[in-house]
Amino acid sequence: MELLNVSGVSVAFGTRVILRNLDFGPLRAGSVTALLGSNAAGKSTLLRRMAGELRGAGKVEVVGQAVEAWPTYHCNRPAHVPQDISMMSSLRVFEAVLLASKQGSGWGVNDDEMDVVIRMLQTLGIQALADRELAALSGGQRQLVSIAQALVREPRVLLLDEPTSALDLQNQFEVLELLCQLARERSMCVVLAIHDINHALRFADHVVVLHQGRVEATGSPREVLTPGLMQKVYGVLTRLECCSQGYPFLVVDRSVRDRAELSKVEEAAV
Amino acid sequence: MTETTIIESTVLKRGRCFYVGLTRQRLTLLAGIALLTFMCFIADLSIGQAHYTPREVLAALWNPDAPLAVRVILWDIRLPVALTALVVGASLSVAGVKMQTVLGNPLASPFTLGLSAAASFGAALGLILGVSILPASAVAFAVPANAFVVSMIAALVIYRLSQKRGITTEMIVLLGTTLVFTFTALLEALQYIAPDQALSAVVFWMMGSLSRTSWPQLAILSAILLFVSVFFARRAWAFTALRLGDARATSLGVPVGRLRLQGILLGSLLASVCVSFVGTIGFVGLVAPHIARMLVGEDQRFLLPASALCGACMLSAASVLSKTLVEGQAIPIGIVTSLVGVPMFFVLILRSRKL
Repeated sequence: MELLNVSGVSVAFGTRVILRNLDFGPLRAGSVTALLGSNAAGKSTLLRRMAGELRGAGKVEVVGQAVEAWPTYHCNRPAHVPQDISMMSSLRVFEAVLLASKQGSGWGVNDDEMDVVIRMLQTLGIQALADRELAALSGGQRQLVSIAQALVREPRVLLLDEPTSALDLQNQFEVLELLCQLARERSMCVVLAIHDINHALRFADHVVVLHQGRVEATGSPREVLTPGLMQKVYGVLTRLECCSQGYPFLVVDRSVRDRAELSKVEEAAV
Repeated sequence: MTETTIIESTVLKRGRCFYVGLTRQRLTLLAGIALLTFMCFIADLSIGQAHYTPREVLAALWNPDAPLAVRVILWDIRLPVALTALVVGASLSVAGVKMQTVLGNPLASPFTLGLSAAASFGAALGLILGVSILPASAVAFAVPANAFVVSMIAALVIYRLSQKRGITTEMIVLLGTTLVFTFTALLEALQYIAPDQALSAVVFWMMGSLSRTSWPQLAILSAILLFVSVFFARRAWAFTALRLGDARATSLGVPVGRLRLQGILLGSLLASVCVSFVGTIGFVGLVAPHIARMLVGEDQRFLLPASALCGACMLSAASVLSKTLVEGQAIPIGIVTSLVGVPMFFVLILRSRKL
């Protein structure tokens, strides 16, 4: 089923244009899409626009209807997990997830609502942390709590901003595998902004590459992520190799930052 | 199959137990603070300069045949003061907890945002220059009205500026601090030109006193406290979400900007009314929310009543202290709250250093 479609989306803050006329999709239910691009390419802005937190030209459609048109707490409204920032709060993990599920509903908490939270914590394997304070968690644990907060309302579209940036190797793989599994089990459309190309190659069904506010390329990871594209978007020389088990992986040889262009920028600054 | 169902049901049971236990613990704490507050209130009613035993005075609460002198002492003197202590303490604390929540800053309070300084300046305008916005017939309300108007102007300045793009919560707190200095300087300028009699009136006003209110003022204070508390309580989940940070709260569907403006505006209203009627009473709005947070955590469904009760308890206790510290004299309550509040605040700062 086609869940998410982005057409003609532009975002500008004042006179600074971040995204110009983006088109991609439709993204299907049960698929994982990786959003790639260098720093400041507009990945986070695009995710916020797709979540309906920003206004702008163009259309983000979920199940054929503009994202803003869905009620705030409807399951067709995308759930967004912003990049990890420290949460210096003494809320307990259980409360934090409960809080996410209770937004827009009544005061009291009944047994069913508690059970939903417990099952969610169990799904992410963090039920042992239920009574811990957020401020006392490690970065990876906080990331899992954030994902639990987003998932607890059972959204059909899940947008994550660099979900693995604070995680160690084991947790990176576990989280990404879990997201793929949840996407299939719950027929969700998962979109994640990510920096690790090898993760995109391994886990994503689909990639969207942003460059200078535009969609540079979109399609299946193996076809899109060519050395030519990597040089253009990230400014690095790369080789795409295959490991002994047949997985493709990307090896970076060196940076090819354009020295001439750099000195031009420096001159302009002076 | 049955085994997994059993395991699942035990996990669910354990999870529910945890949350129900947490809730019960918080309700017990709330009941405890409420009891303490009630005891302070009774002590406040019992103690005074008149030579009647507490039993005689309290009996006038339910006994219509009590001597007239005792009835007057209870109903016209002690009860308004004791109730004012509760309502003002609760109001200042609720205002403080909201400002700390929406500005994400532990130092935010009616004081640090300049509302008290502005109110003092407004009161001084009336007391020294005789400026009043009310007709001469409403002389009893002239000074509070002045204080309220100037204080709300300060609040509106903060409100307007916080609506501008790119203004962070830190900037709002800094702005409040500049307002404190501005109004303090203006007040000092007025004091410099004031005749002696007006000067002492201003100084006495600023020290704060609970005995300036009678039943009508008390009714106004209570009505505003009730309205603002109900408004905040209805949005308890959303206010709690603000503690996760702006980005996270927005992603949970919380209208962060609107909530912040409502918090600032209604918190200021609550604080301004209090300060206008009773003068500047320091530290309750800053310290009571911190104590409440340590006791019941960040869930606003518990934090809001806990703050109100802590504030009421603090001010009620301060009222008792102000009557008992020096034999035969009532020390102005503003002095007592600050002197008791400073050590408490000091402890708070040292505690937070470890985190």
